[in-house]
Amino acid sequence: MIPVVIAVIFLVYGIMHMTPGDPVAVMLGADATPELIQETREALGITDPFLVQFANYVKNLFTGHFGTSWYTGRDVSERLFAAIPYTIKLSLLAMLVALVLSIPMGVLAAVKHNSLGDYTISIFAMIGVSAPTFWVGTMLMLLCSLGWGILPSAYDGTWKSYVLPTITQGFNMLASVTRTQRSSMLEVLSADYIRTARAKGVSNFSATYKHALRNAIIPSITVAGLNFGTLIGGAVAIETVFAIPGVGRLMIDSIKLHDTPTVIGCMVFVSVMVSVINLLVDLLYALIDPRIKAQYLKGGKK
Amino acid sequence: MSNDMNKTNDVMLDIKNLVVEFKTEDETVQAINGIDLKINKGKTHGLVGETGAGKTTTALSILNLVPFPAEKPTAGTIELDGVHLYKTNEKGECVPALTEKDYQSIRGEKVAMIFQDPMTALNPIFTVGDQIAESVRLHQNVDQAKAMERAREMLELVGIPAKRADDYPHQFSGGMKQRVVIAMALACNPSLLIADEPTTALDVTIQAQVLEMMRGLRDKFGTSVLMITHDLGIIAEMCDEVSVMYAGRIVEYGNLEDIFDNTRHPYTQGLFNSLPNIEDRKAELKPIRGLMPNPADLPKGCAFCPRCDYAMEICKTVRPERKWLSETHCVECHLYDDGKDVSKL
Amino acid sequence: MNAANTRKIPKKKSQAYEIWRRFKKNKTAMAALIVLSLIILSTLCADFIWDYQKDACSINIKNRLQHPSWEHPLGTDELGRDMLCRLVYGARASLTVGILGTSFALLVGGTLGAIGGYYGGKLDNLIMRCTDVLLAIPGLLLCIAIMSAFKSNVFYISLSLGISYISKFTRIVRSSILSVRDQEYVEAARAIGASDFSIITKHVLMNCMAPIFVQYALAIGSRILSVSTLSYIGMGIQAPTPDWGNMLSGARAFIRGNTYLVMGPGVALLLTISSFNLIGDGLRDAMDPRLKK
Repeated sequence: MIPVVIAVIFLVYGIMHMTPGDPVAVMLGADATPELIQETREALGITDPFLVQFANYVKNLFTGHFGTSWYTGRDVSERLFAAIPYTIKLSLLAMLVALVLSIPMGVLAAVKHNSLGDYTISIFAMIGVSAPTFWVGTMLMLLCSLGWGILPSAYDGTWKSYVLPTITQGFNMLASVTRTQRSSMLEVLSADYIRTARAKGVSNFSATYKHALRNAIIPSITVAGLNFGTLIGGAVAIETVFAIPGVGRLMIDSIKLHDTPTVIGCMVFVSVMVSVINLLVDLLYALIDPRIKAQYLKGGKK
Repeated sequence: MSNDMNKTNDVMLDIKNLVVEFKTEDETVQAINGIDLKINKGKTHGLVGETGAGKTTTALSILNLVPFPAEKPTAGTIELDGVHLYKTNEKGECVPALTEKDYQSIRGEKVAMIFQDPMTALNPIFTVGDQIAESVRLHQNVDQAKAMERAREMLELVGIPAKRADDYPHQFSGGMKQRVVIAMALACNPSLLIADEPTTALDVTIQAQVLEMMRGLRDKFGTSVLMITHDLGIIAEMCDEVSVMYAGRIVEYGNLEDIFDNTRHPYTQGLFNSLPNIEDRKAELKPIRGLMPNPADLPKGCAFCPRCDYAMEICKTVRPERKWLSETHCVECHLYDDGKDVSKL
Repeated sequence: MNAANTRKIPKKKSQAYEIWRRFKKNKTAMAALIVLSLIILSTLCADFIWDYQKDACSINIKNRLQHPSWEHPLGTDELGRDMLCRLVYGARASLTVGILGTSFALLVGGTLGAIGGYYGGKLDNLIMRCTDVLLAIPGLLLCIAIMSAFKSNVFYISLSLGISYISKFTRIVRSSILSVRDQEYVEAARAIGASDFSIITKHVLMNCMAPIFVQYALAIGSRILSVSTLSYIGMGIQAPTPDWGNMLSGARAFIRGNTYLVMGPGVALLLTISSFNLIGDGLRDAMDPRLKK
């Protein structure tokens, strides 16, 4: 995991390195003397070669320093750490809600295949994977805040102000996991071992929930893990729609201010979080499926 | 009727005029076209035919496990040890005679089934011991520990060390998995065992071992067996009676002697001719030409007619009636319409 | 004699025909195809109805925020421009970058995946590690990072959309290739001395087209979704060029009392993206009838 994270930082750092704009001019304003500009440049370390800068950056990361913000002139971690809790809370909450709702919905759609309920869930899920998050957020806001006035439209610190952003951010994952769960459940339900189970007298209920569900849930976990990146990426737009002071908002603001170190800090945080979630997903697999290890050994066979 | 009543005592399975329909996107086709099949207690009945003849569907109908609503029995009755599994209602439709709960208690307890592909027949996320024990717990009032004990016993019986009960299916080879499936099927001492091509997916040497083991267990427990296969060798080895199935119908039925020594139906003849002959190695193989007809597009008359070397005009338009040649031997073929004897085909 | 067999022969058309025949039966997928064709047709015909510069881009404050009427079926936006006209031109922008971005991802990702899957070994390992790295960065954030470093024009937007999708194509092509690489017909081609390039393109790729096609359709939908988000936060297609994302962004301050401003572009996005998704699903079902029940 650590090599991947470092490679990610390298990539982000490399891309951001190409960003135009002179940070020193931004920081000091127009009337700075050339000497002062040169001094500040050296102090920031941006006169060093790219690889040296990168090595220093990574070294500092391990001590919790994300570099100096070109906007505030102070360490990036200051504002980043203030923003992180909002994003973590919101993303994890959204993921939780998405998983808790999507798995039963997918199972229901598969068990009642081709019924009205199945169609409703399928249409709902299709909307969920197709609608842009920020639009869903806007519509929900129009309906619940401006229309009915039951929920606040912007973040105000109460639990109520988490409801709409959570639904919005989780909507896409909810939909894609529902779709995955439905199709994997359909596939598993027609698997030979379900027929074997039924042939030995297992009831419909037990065949569905004991034998099929645990097998069918594995692809859903994969999709949830893969979609976590999309979910947290959505934070950028959602935190803008609902005025939440999270990492996504900080990142967009910093891009507009050409505050590259802060942007890098935000990206690094998000990438680390995605990697951690993927690691947890891998661990979860092994818990559910005894074959995982064997499958890894076999490689792409079959 | 009274004659039938007397017989029920020693009849294990009695299928009468079973029709199973299969719905595809475009049309409804008959996967099984009205078959009769009777297995006496303690006997082994072989069901032979090519892939797609309807053998597996027949087996699944007995367990009421045909993939509804795509497939559905529409006519006929099935009786198991005197109990109706399917009956015909007043409208002449075929309906399940029992509740789903009753079927569940029959499955595994009275009728057990072994499936063709052992690689996919076991649930990958449970240990094999658990899967055998589950069957025991479903039908016998015992706790988990007792059931596991029984599972270990069954594993030993099929030649797998008891300590492997805690292993997962992927840790077993194909032949071993099939042994596990057999152990699972026999765990509750079923009176009827349906074996759907139990050895097709296995290596030849393993095939022999598994067959030998099945034969031993059958004799030990006195189980009736419906042996579904396309391998005439297995039939000769294991069975008392044989039904030859073609395109959803049983075209010839008889005991081992009738079928092997007095072959009557050109299709059965064709099956024998497709086998290499060990005694006469110079004999030419004579494969049956053509393919099995699409069940959605069956010939109007005899289904075998387009592939039959003896086809006559009548075969194209009229479906042959069943003709009893002796007490034990019957055939559906126009060749025997006027008592003609073409036994030396 | 062989009536049953000869009758079957005309039924056996090419594989593509079979897929199309099954696809046609899928009502939702066909509906999606029709909707999408109408959208594409409307963008092609737009120039006959409107003047791009005058109707879609120039400001007309007198007409601002007019609710839907006969003259302006979808109303006018905050700068007095006809919503329908901007919606149609917005489709042009979205589809262009969506298709360009996906094609770029397919080209690069597919090539990498094919090389990795076919040759295996260290090269494969290196490629897979690179895709791991790309996958660890959420696609949208990668787009944003790239866009903040480069100018906002169609080329760079497509490029950023493409780069963030490369790894998906790499994985799909690689796993398809792995699944057919050791099949007998590939061995046979190798045995008769076919070159690696011809084996990969002729035998291997031809036999794993299905998942690639499906992914291509789904990817276009996903790229359009991303570009709309990029434009919404001001890092994609820049005003005055109309795009559904920047139309929604511009409407943000005026939604109270002017709901129609967010309905038009939102529904257009939903329709377009779900059409691509439905077509992708339909294709998958048509190519693999096993999955459909």
